[in-house]
Amino acid sequence: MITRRDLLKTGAALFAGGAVSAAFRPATAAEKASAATRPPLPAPAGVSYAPVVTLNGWTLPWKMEGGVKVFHLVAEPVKREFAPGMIVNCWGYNGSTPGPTIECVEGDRVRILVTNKLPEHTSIHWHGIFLPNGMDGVGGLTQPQIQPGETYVYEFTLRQNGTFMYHPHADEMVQMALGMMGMFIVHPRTPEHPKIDRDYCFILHNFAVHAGTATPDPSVMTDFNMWAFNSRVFPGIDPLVARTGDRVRIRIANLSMHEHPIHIHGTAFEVTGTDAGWIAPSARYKETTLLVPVGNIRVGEFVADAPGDWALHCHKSHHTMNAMGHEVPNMIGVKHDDIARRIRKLVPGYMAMGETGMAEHAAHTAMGHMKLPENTLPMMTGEGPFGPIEMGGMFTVVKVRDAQPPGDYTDPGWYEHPKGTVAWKLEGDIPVPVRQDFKPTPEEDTDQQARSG
Amino acid sequence: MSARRSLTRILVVLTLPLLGACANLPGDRVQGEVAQTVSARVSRPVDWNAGVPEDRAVRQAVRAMLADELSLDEAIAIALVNNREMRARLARAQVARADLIRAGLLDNPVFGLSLLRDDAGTESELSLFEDFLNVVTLSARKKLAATDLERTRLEVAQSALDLIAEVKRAWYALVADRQAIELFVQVTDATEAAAELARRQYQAGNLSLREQALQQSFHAQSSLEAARAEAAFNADREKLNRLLGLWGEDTAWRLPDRLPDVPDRLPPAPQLENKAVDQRLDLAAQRAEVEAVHLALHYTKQTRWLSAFGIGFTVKRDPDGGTARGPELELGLPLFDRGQARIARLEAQLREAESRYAQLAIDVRAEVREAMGRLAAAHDSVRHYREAILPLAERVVEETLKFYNGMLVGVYELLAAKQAQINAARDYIGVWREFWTAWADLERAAGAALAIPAAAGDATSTQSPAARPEDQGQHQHGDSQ
Ligand SMILES: [Cu+2]
Repeated sequence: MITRRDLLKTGAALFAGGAVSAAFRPATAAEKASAATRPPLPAPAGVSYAPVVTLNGWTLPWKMEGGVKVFHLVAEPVKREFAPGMIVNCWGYNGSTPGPTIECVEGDRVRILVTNKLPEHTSIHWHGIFLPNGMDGVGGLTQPQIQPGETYVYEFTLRQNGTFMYHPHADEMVQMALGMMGMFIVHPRTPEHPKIDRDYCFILHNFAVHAGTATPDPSVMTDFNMWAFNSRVFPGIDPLVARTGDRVRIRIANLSMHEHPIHIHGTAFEVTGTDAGWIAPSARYKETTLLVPVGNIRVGEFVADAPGDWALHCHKSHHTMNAMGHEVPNMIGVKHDDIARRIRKLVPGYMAMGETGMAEHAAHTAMGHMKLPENTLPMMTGEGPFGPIEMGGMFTVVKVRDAQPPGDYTDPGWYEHPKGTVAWKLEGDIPVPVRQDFKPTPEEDTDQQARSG
Repeated sequence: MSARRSLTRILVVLTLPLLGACANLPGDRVQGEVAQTVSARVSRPVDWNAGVPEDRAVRQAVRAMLADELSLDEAIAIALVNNREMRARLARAQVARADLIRAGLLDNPVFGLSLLRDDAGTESELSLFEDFLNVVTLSARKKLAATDLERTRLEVAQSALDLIAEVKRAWYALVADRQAIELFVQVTDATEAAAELARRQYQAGNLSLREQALQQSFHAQSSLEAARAEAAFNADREKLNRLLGLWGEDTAWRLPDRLPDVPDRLPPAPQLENKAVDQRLDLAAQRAEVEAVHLALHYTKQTRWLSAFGIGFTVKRDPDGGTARGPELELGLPLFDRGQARIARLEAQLREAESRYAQLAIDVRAEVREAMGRLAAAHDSVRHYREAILPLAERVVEETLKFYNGMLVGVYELLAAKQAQINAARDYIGVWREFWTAWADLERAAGAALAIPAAAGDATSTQSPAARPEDQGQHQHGDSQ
């Protein structure tokens, strides 16, 4: 018989023992796949292209069997470090999310083995690729679901070249919410003109990893808090590196629930492709902000003619933040130091925030003055050569250097600006600026008057 | 046996009825005996000989105890000398004794002793009585009277124990009230800060009137609750004033900040039920009643041939619940009554008294078990608060602060978490108080004070974080090796 005393004891024991869940322990060696950008695989003999570089990812090696390129994908749970300080319980392929990039050449015959090590069935759809209907990977519609432990074989010939994706078409909401996706790059068989020097790819995605948790919440539809390039968030995203004068291609896929205007500084994209292939040269256009629709791909190209550290980011400002609350009381302009002192008596460690903006908050978290929930990144963070960068999410840097060796993708460090080319602080008298003073119209509404009075 | 001694005795016996009226002196034997009985059971000196509350020395002693913080021991000491109802009960016992002396049923202790000091023994005294009254009847009546006085004495002593238990309960309640008020004040601080913040947010154009009114209503509500707590405290304070017999300027005493620490362990209580049956004074009083009736029956059987003298034992139960009991002497004519009816009556009375005694013993055992159960449950609850509920509530605040730091939640949620923690602390005070109330009840049920096992330092502080969960493991997430 369980007595009340036993129950009370159990309650206490549960509390004592339940402090650290397995979700928050560091990944073991087996679970860890480095999230660093891996060097690309060289193009095979007989074709010439710039091999694609998967940002914070890697390219899947293949074997040749009887004239067929054989790849093997394993769908499985993985741990992914989104940025230092945050490890997420994801699902992915071959140890990572996104899965490794499949890179082929137009005309290749490919055979892709898909082993399911997930706890539920799955399937793979080859987004944008024209293939026999039975290879389209829509579970239930074009094939049976791949049950856990089973391996299915997909085999088709690549009749296009361009930028594609793969992702599950089974319990899609959950499996994609947990990070199952990968890129599928098909190069043209004949060399391109103008020649591409560096070819980057990444997938835009959103995750709902609620503060203090580690597993993405698949039930969230719009209120995501992790805005990722290849399942990494700033400051965890590697830079895109180029040598001055390189023609750089960036292939950006979007598997998130939102569209993302990806803005590049210092140059402009020439929009050259979608998930349906290349745009005719006559139809290409330029813009500095490449809007990538949901479930789509945009390819932008530019010549990296200006050395420097150029930001590349989503232009929705909330998408360059990490975890934050969206119902936090607005304290802008609310003086409350005295109230904060009173609250501090009740809750030691409390700090007033938001009165002058939120940069102060970023500084506090950066300096470690304020503890955050476990496994939770600061809302805005990152330290540059001149101070706090105050970003998160979909933000990284295109680093263009005169001396970057061809084929070298390693981070060259911060840009050293030529003398006199950095904005400077004006010393001495500040000239009188032209300005317009606010004057209310006579029919000011009564509420406003009440507030000012 | 000398003639001279006999003469002396005669004088004594004749004098007795005259002296009985002046036998109620300070330091009376009843008062001393009751004091001794109570003292033995509460492990504290009890002295009623010092005087009545109106005496200067007593007033000074009471005032001295009221000057600083009023400890529980001081409250009990004051109640024992200062509670007028207690005084009235003592006086009633003295009246009972005086009545018995006056009726010649008890020796006058003062004179009886002084005379005996001069004489060789008591046999001659008895023989003297034989000359006047029937030896059997008188000694029976004396024994009966002594037994009955013993019962009164026990009842008064029990009422002193009841008073002590009541003072304890009232004192614990009051200190608990006081601790709760501090927490109500904290909640009011929190809601006031929130309301003020909302007001400024509104003025800055950042909050609607609707949301501002919401925060203000929280504050209005918590202010009312704080006022209610204050009123409860004042009412409980008056209860203690009554028990302590205090009025006027004597009511301005102060209280300690907090209840005594709850011991880590419960007192070992083996055989507490049996001990209670031995120790409980109301049970002993009932036992005395059984003995009295038994004696009455015994003597009645012995003297049934002497029907002129009947010995009885009367219990009158008033409609208002009070009882009047006592031995009685009957004088009758032995024409029809050969004593059978009296014996039958006494036999029935004996069965009644024995049944009541047995039921009371069963009640006492049940009371002890119930109080022990409540004490154990309260002890468990206190531990559960200390080990789980309070640290968890504190943890919620700590974690909410982290969410606040991350701009994930706002200050109002943080203050709400703090309020929940304060409310948990308030509930904790409730079980803390219940522990000591159950302790007082157990002592009352067991009929004697229990030794408190050594307490564990500050473990009962309302703010005390027990084992901090953080200490059990460092979580590192940033490591990507
Ligand atoms: Cu975006």
